[in-house]
Amino acid sequence: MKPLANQPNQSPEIPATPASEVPNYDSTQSDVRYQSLVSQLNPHFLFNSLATLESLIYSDQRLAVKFLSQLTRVYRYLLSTRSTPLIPLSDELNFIKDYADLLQTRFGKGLTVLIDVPPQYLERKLVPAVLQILVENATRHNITDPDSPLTISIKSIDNHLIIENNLQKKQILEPKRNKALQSLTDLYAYFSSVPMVVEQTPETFRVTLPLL
Amino acid sequence: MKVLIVEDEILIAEQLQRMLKDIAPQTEVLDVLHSVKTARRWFMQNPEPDLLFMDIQLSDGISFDLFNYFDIKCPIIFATAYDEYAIKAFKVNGIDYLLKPIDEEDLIRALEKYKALKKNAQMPTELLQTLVNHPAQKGKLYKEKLIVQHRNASIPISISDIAAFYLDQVIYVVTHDGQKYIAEQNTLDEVEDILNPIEFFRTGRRQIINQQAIESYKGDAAGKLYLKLKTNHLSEVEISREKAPVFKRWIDR
Repeated sequence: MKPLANQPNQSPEIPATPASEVPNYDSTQSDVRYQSLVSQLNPHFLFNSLATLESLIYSDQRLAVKFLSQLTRVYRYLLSTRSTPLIPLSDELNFIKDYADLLQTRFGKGLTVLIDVPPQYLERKLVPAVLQILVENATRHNITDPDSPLTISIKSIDNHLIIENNLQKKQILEPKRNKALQSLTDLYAYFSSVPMVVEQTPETFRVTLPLL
Repeated sequence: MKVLIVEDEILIAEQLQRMLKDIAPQTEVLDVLHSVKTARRWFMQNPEPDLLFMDIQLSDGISFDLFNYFDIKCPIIFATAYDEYAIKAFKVNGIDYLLKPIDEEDLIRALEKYKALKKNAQMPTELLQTLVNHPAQKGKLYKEKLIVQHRNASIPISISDIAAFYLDQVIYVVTHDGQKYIAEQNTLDEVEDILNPIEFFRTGRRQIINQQAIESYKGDAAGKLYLKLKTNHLSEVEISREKAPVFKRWIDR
């Protein structure tokens, strides 16, 4: 009998290779959930918002209260839609208005968010917090200075929602966290035969989402 | 204390200013800059502040970028929302690292750290200043008496009574009241070494004079100075053009 050491090293734990390399829906959805939570719970966003709130408590109590309500609604939306696969555009737009307002209070004239969606699209559906992931992505990678403001526009054309911004990239501290767009694209592949499209020109960055 | 704030969020910068006003009312905030671009311009046009408060991720880039352009020597207190970059901050003379929203206690501690640092840093500077102004001083006490020779006897005289020393083969010591002795020292360098440079001045290779002995002085077209002394042993002393400005600074204190 041959010594054990010469036996081929078979490990019983190795599972069968998956039949398909396409990520399954659950894992993709939880990826997106994770991304939105990560970006939302992004400590920079949270603590800078709290620091802004502290300043407003001294300088402008009315705005402080408004800022606090918006911050509360933003977090509540994120938590309450955690297990919702799709949400009406009207809800998502209300949420993104709050989120954009928070950012605009912080960045002043350095950021403009324009929303132009006709009423007939408001009951169409999309993945919750997708707009927040895209807006956060844009502000994270681009200059938001009053001297060269970032403009993000959200508009709907021909059954699609288009999120577009002028491209003016800045040096950033943590460029590694860049999976968000890929996870979103994967997730949209489950809901629609029309893909989510990401396009970049030297001047603009554009994401086109199919409205479901 | 002159402070510069580099912080891209205006409201957060305002809050820091309010806190500084409360905690350290003597603080003068020179400027609040919101971007790497404006900070770069500022440092091109202004001397360094005493203390720099700086966020790391700014609206148009990373503030560490400034260190690629300027050799910033002043202490820096970094303020950021999240503490991922502390290590790098301390590589560029960061003395503390504050997390936003800034806790008042933390800010007080950071300012104390700055004060302690400034105190320590200033001691050598002050010492250096003293040495630059008075090269012979070197922290020692000066003699009050000098032993001089007169007719083979050693006589102690008060240094404050001495009007001048002059070299003429030996070193003569002349007093305000007209006495003349011979010094024990062999060179004027040795003499200079034991005198307080605030009171005595080496006018050239051959004389050292006491400020009290100067009656008047005048200049000529070439920039030389001529001193008239109160003692008749040494009525006129010449000071070279090179040494004239040093003399003027010494006499005009």
